[in-house]
Amino acid sequence: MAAPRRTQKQIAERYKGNLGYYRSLHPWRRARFWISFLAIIGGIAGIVLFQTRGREIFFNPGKISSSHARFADDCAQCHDQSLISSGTLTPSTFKAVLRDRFSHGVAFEPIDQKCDACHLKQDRRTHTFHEASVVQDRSCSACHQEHQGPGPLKLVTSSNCVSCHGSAEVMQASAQRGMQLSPQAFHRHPAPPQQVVFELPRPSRGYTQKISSFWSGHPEFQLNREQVRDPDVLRFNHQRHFAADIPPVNGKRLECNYCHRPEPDGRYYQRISFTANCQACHLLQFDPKNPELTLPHGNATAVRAFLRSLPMQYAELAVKKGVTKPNEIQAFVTKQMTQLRERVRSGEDFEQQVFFVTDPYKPQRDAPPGVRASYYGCALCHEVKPVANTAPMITKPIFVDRWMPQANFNHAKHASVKCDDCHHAIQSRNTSDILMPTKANCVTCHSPAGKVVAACITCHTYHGSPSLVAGAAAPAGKYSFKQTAVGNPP
Amino acid sequence: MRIFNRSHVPWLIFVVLATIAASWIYFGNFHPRRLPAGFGLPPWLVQKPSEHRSVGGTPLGLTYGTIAFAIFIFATLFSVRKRVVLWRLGTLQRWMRSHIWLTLLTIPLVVFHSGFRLGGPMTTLLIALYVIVMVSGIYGLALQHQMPRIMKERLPAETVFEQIPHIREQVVIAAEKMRDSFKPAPPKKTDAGAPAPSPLKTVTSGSTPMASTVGDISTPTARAKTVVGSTIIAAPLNPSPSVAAVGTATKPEAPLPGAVASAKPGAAEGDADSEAVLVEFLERQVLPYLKAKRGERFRLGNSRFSDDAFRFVKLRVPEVYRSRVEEIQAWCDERRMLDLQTKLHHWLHAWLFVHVPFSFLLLMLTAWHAFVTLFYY
Repeated sequence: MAAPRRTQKQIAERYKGNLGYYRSLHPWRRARFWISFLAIIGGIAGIVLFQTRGREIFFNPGKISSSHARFADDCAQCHDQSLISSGTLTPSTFKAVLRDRFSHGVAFEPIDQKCDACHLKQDRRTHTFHEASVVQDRSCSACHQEHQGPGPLKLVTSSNCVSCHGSAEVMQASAQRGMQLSPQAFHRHPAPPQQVVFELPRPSRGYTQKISSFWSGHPEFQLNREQVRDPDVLRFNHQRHFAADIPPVNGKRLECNYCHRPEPDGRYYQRISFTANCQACHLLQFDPKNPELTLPHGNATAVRAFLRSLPMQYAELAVKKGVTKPNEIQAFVTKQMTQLRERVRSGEDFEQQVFFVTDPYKPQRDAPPGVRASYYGCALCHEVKPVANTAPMITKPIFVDRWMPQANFNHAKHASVKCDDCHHAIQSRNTSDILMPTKANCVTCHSPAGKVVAACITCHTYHGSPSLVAGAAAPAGKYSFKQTAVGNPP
Repeated sequence: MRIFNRSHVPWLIFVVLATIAASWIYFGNFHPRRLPAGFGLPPWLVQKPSEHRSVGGTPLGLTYGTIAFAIFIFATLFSVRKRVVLWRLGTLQRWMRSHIWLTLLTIPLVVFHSGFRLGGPMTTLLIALYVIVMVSGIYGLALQHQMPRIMKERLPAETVFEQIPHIREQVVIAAEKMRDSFKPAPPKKTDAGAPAPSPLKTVTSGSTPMASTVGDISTPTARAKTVVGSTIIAAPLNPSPSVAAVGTATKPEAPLPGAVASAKPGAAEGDADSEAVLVEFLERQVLPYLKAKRGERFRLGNSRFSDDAFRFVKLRVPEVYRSRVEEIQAWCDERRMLDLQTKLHHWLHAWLFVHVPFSFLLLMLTAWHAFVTLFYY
């Protein structure tokens, strides 16, 4: 359609009689004004009404976790509303609060205080229970995020740790502070008293290397980094026990899990004991003619007493074998003692052999199964020291339950991995080999490439023991350290 | 007029750069690993290790939120600026540009402030309001961009919107006037002293007002047709002085010969029939349509039907009445155009019924959210 043109005169003619139209609002404009006005009034009324009668859950940014669900409707349990409720909000405090919020964010200190108060009452957990050298304690809420959903509290992310451990400045300050503190102040992660842990001395700068992630910035484990050796004096050769000539036990080839048996929860392994793990093969049969008769284990004095009461031991054996008449028992004892004296010159010589010679007699490989006299002498495995006029002293071995007490590990979660993939025991010939995995072993899986979680909390625990209160170190002597054996007492 | 033109380019560049900067700072602080190598933040842009995982509570998150809130306030002030025409705080066009682009900038700011999370009931409500305001605003923006072109094409004679009721009223009056001019005058009492009417007056007595409508009623289309030289002016029958004043292209200062010829007594019989036809048409079709509140419901509201109807009416009246028919058709066209303009105007402004009230609500609830968050929890 062609656009018709109009002159000004025509336009004026057209609107003649209604030139004051702009003085009154068009119905649409009027309607819009009233709707907007009602929206404003309604909004203000709603806000005022809500402030007086509304439920606070409206402000809840997310559902409370199951841990704190019991006071989910009572915000004041965690949040401090005193600024408004006490009427202390003056222009100066208003300014101060704004300045603070824009410098440090929304304040967590009041919340932390309430966390502290509640948890100290409940389980003696307090806020300041990370390492003693922490420069600035983090807020509880920084790591333990609430309002994230109704399930358990969300796991702490590595970024929380990296915010300090990834900062060279913070780590430097922490190292400086740590150097001024007693090493005892750092015993904040004690193992259970019944556990034997192997704790290395704390490095002079502490654990303050800058870390961005486990797979890239995390240092090699201290055991490997410092090439620590097991100072234990018990002699054990893993490689020898995997050799082909080792006879089967209970019809099965000897494997790791014959000796290393998991605890009921599968997290760690039960401690090795002679009775449970060695005795099946290493029976202390000192007399090849009477393999049923074995030496006691675990007490050198008892062994000495046993040896010095051999006629009586043989007599008991005769009774066990069904000999009842006294003269027959006496004959049995005399015969056995005579045979024994053919091997040894005297009782002292025999004791000497039992305690110190590592090969008192050859093993009897042709013996029937279950009766394998393979006793080599105490000194084969133990460190035996002679003591005048009494039983020799056998150094008690220390079996370590935890080689890396700073790290959590759950063997049950690693059941799909072969033992030797991480521990490399098949090649180990010396007791001094600490068969702990290297960081590279872990990174194979625990990295983005391995697609297995590699967060800081996968291995580490931020908090100290619940039994510790703020600022307190573990009481001396409470822990069963093997540290003294390494020669670096705390 | 298109709403986007070159003057928007600097704003576009500014908003794009500001969005990139906000994204860079956000990801550099909260998700540094997502930044490509070499794009890490300089230390002075990294905020102190924050205790917050909810971005909104961190100093950076608060900054984003504050900027967005300030833009909300500024955007609301635009409606005030529109009412106070004489303010010397920049032209309205400049305000409009900044209103559009700054509010678009709030999208990344709000998203970063919320940390890509909806949060609880209050923040979800805020986000819902924000989405309503932004979507209605962008919808309105698209309309403002497209509608002027459509209006230019489909509305050749746009009227001041507020004058539409007035123009419609004028058209109705004109139509009624024409109808009344066709109706035979009621029989007058004979007055012996009165002078006998002249033959010309006798012929045109019923048509005199009709001629006057041309001068009195100024509908745009009829006027346009006059201006562009159309010959369908009623003037030849009984030229009015006002015709000469209005119709500059045709200045009939004296009755034309044709008009005299059509005023012959022989034509009067036919005129009565034609006028009856026109009166019936006016009363049955035209006036209800012109008086209707919503014209599109009438058949004359359809341009094709209207053209056919008027063509048919023209065939039923002699040549001398066709100008009247065309004048009626022009009124109907005018009415149709006014209806279309009203419709387009409603499209163009209806979104404001959502955008404006919700903007006020958003502003108030945002202020409440800020106060509660900063001082309560």
